[in-house]
Amino acid sequence: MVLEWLSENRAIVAAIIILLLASSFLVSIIYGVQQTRLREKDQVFGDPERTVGGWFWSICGVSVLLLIWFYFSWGAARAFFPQAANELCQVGKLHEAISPVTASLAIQSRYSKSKTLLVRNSKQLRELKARLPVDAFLENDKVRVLKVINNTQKLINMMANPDFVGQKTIREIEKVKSRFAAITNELKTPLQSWSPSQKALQQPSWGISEPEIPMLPISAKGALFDLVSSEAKSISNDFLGIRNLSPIAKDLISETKAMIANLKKLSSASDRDPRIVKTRADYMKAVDRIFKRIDDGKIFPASVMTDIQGSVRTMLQQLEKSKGALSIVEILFFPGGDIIKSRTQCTEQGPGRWLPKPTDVVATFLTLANPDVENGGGYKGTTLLWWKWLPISDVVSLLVPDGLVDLLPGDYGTLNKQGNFQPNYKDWVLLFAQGDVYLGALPMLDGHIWDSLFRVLVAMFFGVLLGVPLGIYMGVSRFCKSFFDPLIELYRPVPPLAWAPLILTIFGIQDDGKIFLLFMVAFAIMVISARTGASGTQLSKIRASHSLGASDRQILRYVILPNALPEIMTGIRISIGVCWGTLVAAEMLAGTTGVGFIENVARTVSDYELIWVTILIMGSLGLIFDLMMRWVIARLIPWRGKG
Amino acid sequence: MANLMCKDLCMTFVNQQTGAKVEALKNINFTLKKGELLSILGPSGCGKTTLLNMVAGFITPTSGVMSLGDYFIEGPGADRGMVFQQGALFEWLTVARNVDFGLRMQGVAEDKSREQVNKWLTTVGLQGFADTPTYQLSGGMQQRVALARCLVNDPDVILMDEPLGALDALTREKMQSLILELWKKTGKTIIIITHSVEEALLLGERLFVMAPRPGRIQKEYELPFAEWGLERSLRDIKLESKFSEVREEILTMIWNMEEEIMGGT
Repeated sequence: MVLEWLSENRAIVAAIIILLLASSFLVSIIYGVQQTRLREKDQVFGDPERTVGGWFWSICGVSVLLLIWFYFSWGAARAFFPQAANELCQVGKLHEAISPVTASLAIQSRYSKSKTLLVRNSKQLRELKARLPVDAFLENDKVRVLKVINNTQKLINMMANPDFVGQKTIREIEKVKSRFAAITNELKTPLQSWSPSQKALQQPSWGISEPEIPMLPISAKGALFDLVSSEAKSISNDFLGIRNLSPIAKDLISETKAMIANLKKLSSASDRDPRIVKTRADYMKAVDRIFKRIDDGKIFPASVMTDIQGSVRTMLQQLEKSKGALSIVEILFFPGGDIIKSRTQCTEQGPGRWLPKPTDVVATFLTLANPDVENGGGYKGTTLLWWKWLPISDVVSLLVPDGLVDLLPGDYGTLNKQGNFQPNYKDWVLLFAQGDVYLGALPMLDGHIWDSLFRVLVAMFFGVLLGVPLGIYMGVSRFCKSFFDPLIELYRPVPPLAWAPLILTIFGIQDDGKIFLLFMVAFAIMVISARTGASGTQLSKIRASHSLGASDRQILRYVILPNALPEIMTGIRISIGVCWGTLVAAEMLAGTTGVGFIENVARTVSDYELIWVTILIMGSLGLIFDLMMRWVIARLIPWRGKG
Repeated sequence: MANLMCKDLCMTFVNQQTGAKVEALKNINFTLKKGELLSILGPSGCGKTTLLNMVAGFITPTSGVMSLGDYFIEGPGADRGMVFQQGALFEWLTVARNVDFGLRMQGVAEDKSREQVNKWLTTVGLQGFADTPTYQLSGGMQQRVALARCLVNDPDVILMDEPLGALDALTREKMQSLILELWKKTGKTIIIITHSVEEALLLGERLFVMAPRPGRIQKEYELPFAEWGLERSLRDIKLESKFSEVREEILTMIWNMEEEIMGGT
């Protein structure tokens, strides 16, 4: 199928599109410059005629926009350099492998982890010493607690002193350092001829499957990086195992540990005031926590670590050199982010992640627009925009309240002697009113977009139906204006979304709640615009119609209403826009269909393609609404602004 | 005979905030016979428009009575047509729909009103414009539509509030002839308010010069120029020595009134 082929070959499709865009950009610039030169002669600067036409600049603008989109979404990278992503994934593997080492050294951060540990724990010890609860301990216990604290501080200082580092630790550190040097050498060797494994070749290409970027190396350079990254992983494990515990330190640790255990026992054995027991226990717990953090032996003297630091730095520098052309591609075509290896997959970080590629967005949109819900089309069991058979009985049951049937004369049926139900005529009418009688079906639009549209249209219908008459009466009657003004002016400035929780609680999360919320928005705007239109009628027109013998009612219908029409139409245009915005937000709060609903689900699963598709759908629908209204206004009110 | 009679008309406006009283009109008395052409002239603020609005029924006088034929004037009505400075046309309607507005409101049948509309459109020189939207017309043509709209209702009195004030000199002269022509043809009572002394002289069988503070009729003239204008070109009449005599007299009078106001403030 065409769609599948397009999906499989997204990269090629994207490459063709990008080239087309680039050429249309260039052609439109050349044509535009030509046109501008021609016109400059007969149109001075500031002449409004200068802005007429100029579709070529629109093409230029759209091309630039799309090119920027392709570029920053790494769509261009995927189209032209898919192998670079695979190689960068291997680089990412190396970075992930050495991350425990770089994290403890001053390579990616300002200070080494040893420095941070030393300073932070010493500070905490000082503070702990200062707030020793004097009343909670006996005199000689107090002396022992202070000894523990002093011992811990001594331990910290001892670990940071190069004179106290044990021989075993020094040997282990030497080994790590030389192994990193070996990796550096390996990176220096020129690339050998290498062929990828069958498995690597069968990997889905970038962007096709869930782990976005193929993990196994497919090039000689990538293979080299992959190789050294597994070596680096084992070095990192060894490095994490190194402890800085000299025999003297070990003695100090066991002595202090015994003292802490003793002091803890003292707290629980004591039969004094439970509050004091608690204070004492809390204090000892805090002391013990710091001590345990230190007896791991993770603090090293700075001089010991400089060697490892140097060798890792050299290795990273060599890595950049070995990347060669790859680093230029990375800077130029992977703007604003990195490819990161984490646990099981290589992913894009930065705009490559949150700005989906245009081709992916189109693919997602096509899936969404596919009306075949059973075979993966639509979204959550509803199509995007399609049609269905709507049973007429559903409409009847919606329009005819059941209570109306109760008002009919006569009784409902009862059970007869034979033990069967004996339906009366009222029961049949009830069935009809409840929509249980099949009356045929009508073709009806269906889908997420239609649901959203339907809500807006129904709300607009009622907003106009009720808002315009009220607005016009407010425009002509002092009582009506002053009576309703406070009400409308009070509720109108409240953002519709502030009403949403309340309205959704009262009306439920079905359509009626959302429609009522939108109705409130449309109603206020319609009232205000109709009022402005009605009260803006020229006095001379009113007087003229009085002199022509028109009654008050006729003046309202034939003079004030048509005079307010431009304002009313503008009001409709504005309220459709506001309703649309409010609706999407309301659908995000609750509901199971609608464009806002799709975006809300997409948000919770971080499906950025889908988020962008919904954003684009909303944007285009809003634009279509507005263009339609502008067209209608131009047709319906040609005298606008000419009266 | 449907004579227009005004007796002891007074109008006092009270400023809502300060409570200050302004006497816009004081003791206005006149009778206009059917078919008379009256023009009213005066400096701004002398109550010309107030007087016209009172006759039209848009405002009620503080004291005094007005009657048209056998009826007292107590509100606006179709027997007193009004033409405004800016036409006050309904721009959402075509020329024909504007003209038949009054008939439609009174429920006259479509075919009967169409006949009337065509007749009056021809009279004011707008044949062929029936289906044109009014916003596409020039100022002079809009005033013609306003005249036709007023005439189609067959009112007893036509009130014109500076009907030609917004037109250019040439159009204005043509419209002046048209008004004289219509006056002759229909025999309607017409009251015209104007700022222009020449226009007042040309379009007034009778002429009131009004004075401000309080608004009153300062002097009344009976003039022959309107009758002349039916046969002769208006430009010829303006060259007559009698015309310039009266014009100079009135101009001096109004000049003096203005001086008085300026000096008084």
